[in-house]
Amino acid sequence: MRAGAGRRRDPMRAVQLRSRFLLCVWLLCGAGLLGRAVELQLLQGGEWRAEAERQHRTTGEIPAARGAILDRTGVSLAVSHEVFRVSVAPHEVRDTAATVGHLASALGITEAEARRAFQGSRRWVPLPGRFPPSAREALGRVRGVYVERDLRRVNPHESLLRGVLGAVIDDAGTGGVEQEYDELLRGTPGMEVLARDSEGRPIPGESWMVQPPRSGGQVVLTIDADLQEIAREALREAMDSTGARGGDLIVTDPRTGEVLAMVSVVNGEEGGLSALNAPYEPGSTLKPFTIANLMATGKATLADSVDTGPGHWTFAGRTIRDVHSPGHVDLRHALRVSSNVAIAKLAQRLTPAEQYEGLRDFGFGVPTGIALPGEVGGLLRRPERWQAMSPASLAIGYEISVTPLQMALAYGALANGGTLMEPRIIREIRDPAGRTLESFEPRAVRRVVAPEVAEELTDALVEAVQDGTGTRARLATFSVAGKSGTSRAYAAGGGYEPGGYYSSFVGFFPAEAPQLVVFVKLDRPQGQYFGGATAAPVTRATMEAILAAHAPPLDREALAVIARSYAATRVQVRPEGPFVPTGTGIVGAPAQSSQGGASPAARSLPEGGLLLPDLRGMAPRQAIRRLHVLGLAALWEAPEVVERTTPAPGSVVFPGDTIRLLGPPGRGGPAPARGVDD
Amino acid sequence: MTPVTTDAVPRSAPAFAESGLRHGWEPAVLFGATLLLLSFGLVNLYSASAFLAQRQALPDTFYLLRQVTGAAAGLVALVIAARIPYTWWRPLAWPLLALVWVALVLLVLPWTTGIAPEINGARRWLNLGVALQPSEFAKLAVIIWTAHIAVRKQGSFRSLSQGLAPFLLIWGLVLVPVLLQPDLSTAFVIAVLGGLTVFSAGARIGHFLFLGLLLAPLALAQLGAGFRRDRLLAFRDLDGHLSAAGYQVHQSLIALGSGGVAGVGFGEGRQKFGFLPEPHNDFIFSMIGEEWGFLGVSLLVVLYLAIVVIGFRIARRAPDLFGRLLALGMTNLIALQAVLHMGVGLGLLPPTGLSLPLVSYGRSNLLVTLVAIGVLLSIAHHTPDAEPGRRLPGEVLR
Repeated sequence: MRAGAGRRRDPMRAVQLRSRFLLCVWLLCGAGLLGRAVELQLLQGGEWRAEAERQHRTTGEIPAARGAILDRTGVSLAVSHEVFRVSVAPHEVRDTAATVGHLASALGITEAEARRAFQGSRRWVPLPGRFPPSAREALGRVRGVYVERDLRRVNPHESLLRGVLGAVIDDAGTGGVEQEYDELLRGTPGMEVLARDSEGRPIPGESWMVQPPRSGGQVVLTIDADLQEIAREALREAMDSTGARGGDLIVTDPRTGEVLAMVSVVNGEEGGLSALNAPYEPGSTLKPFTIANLMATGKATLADSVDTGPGHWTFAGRTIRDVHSPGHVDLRHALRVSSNVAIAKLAQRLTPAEQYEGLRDFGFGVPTGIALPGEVGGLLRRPERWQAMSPASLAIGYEISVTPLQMALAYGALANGGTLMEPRIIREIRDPAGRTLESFEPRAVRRVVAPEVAEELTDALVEAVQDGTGTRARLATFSVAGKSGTSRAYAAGGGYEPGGYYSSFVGFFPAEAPQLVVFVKLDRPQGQYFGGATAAPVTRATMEAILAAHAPPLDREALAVIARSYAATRVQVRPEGPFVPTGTGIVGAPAQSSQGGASPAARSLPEGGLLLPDLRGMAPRQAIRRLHVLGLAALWEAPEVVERTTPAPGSVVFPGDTIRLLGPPGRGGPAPARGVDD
Repeated sequence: MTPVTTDAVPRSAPAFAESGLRHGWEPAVLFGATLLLLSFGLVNLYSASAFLAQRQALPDTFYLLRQVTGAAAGLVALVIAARIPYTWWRPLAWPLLALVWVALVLLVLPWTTGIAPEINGARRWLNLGVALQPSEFAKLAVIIWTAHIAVRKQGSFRSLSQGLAPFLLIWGLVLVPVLLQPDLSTAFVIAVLGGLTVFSAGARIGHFLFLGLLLAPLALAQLGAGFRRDRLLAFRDLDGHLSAAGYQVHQSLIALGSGGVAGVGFGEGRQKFGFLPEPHNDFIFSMIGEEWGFLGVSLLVVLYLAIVVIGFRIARRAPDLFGRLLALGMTNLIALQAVLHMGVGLGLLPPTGLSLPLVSYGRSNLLVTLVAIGVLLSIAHHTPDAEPGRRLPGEVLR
């Protein structure tokens, strides 16, 4: 309304107008800002909130506790421990002295240890060690103190069953039962919603559990922890005394196919499962199956005789030799002395198809179907692919490769009256609360030979142990049936390794009503390499130790009956090798008398009682083995070396008593500390 | 209308001696709004900076305590500024400008990195025992100087060479070191503050248009450089998340939007956990919008508008033109920064690094803002007891 002329007339008026204009601009700006805020916050608020939620929240997994693996008696072989790590953010703590005191009392550490976290200028100090759930509860929520859950897989028996159990690596079962039953053991992880910052890091103390984790189920094995320990020690000792670089030892129950113990050592290392995945040429241990085949097909009886001639026989360009020529022998004798020539000659009576099917029926050439990963079936060629010499080679255990497990099960078929059983390593699976989800019953694969054939052959195998190649497997109190074998070891690059042998012995006892099959194979023993000399004593030591064990999975009543009749009819033979007192209540009477006047102290011993030996200074495993042999149970609390025992050495103890093996005094807190502070 | 022929100065001395906050309601409300903003700011600064401080291995109250010292010093400065007659600033106009210019030049000289280190790619702080941001003080110095000269040039505004050119020359001298820091946002604020003061004093609008045409290519060239271009491009393409700056604005919108009506609650905001850049400074408004919602945003806008309205009332009733221009300048100082900061937060303007006066972390800015409030109070105290709205005589009338 007023042009330039007016402004010139009254410059103050222009100043007035312009400042009013400016004020209006600022007011409009304010209105614009408010309008935009209305749009963003009131009209679009929901959408922005949803977007905020998306970027502020993240879901996390709460790990589920992995289920335990138990032995047949409920001993924990692998368990998950829930432990907690505690960290301190010193600058967030308001009252350092109070927090130090609280940490010390809740976690059971010294005040000095707790105070250390507050020294120095670090923002985040993890306290050393791990703490049990009880400490975590005592700790509660404290400003500046953070707790992290950590699930650890603990194997209370250390490497006792490493191969069978496998391991848990990065939360995944790797090898063995851990892998085979990973899904069951792993459980279902829970879900939580966490507040996160822009880099995805959770903001401490801001989490909401959406779904709690469900622990994994339990797996109960057919393995017996005591037997496993015995088997492991027996194999270790055999390796030490023979210089073998490895071996396998399997104990099965022929009646059910249950695997009671299984140890594999490959090149001095435990952890593999060569019992399932490393086939070898069995040699003489296969001969009983050739004979069973001959008998089952009616082609021969044990009384049939054969002339072994000069002790060697050339067939299809291959010469088969015996160490000593037995001359003109019957088949029973040929088995006892393990005559290659006699058995190869008699096997001529079988057609290739009969020979192949007979072996196949005993389970050779196909995986046994044990519930462990990595099993192989070995090699048994179909007759079309045989060469001219094959029937003779196969008869004496060459041109075929078998796994130790197959061999143990095949002997089980002879032991139980002719039925091949499916191997069982899993007894049952349970839910986290311990309720049985599924239990696995013994299952027969097929009847391989008639009971009479199995019985006759068992008798022949008893003779092989009594005075044939397997005498060193003899037991004092029971008749053992078995067969030794020696075969050439494969070289790494193919072919046979010069001077390398596998020595094996498979035995079962008591021969009258077999309860256990023990398979032993040693990989490249040094010096004397014949199976009868190296593997058979291991079998005997194993059987003796099992008999002496606290509560082996044996039918003791049946054993007692057999033992009495055995003692009455046979001449008592002192066992060679390690002294095994038999005053364990299994076969009480004869042992008692043999020990009777050994020491003056024994006179004052109450009936059945014995003196606890001095185990101090021994490695725990060695001590446990000594105790097992005496029929005593052990509670192992010594970390490295046994320094004390409760009761003290020399005390009168009774079979079945539990002896505590303790470490150095002062470290009073027994086992739990092991699981907890790393 | 009865012109009261009077000088600017004579009335001041007796009025000053007994000045309190008794000259109408404006000073009381201005001071109250200031204290309210300041305390609201400190509370939110803690919420915004605690996590940040801890992530930098500092105590959670680190930024809060530093800001409190700044607020204490600022309040002392406010009282001093309110007590001294505003006319004292006139003879100080040139010395203050010179002092600030020296400080600004010190920042950009190549051999002064000892006292002016480079932080985050810019040299903004002068370390003289206390770290100061000379460009913040430059805002104040430029307003005082421009008001001072504008009063003298009242008659020559018609001529470009006699009127606007001297301003452009001096502003240019100040802006060059600021641009070299580099700090485009602050340079822009200083230029706009100077321009608004001259505009209020009556400079010809044609001159501004001419100047705008002249500077347009230069401004575009400036905008093309480095991170500033990124920010502008990103601003254009908000939803594409093209760059860091686009991400920043988007995060700011998430913060404000998710606040809704009443906010997510004090201290409960999530955007400060690394999503909002500089949640204690460049984006504190967004964080307040998240935690306090539309209510908090409205409170801030209303308080700033109250300061602006009162500032303009004080200006209108100022005893002379210098007082009026000074009051307008100080009000603009607060209004401009508040509008720019909130505009950026609401996604209306491209991201810049400007503080929210009295709220954002930064002691130089806080000190300068409180001094500006003090100057406003001083001008209010020296207003003759007259009915509101009365036009006051200035030097020009003689």
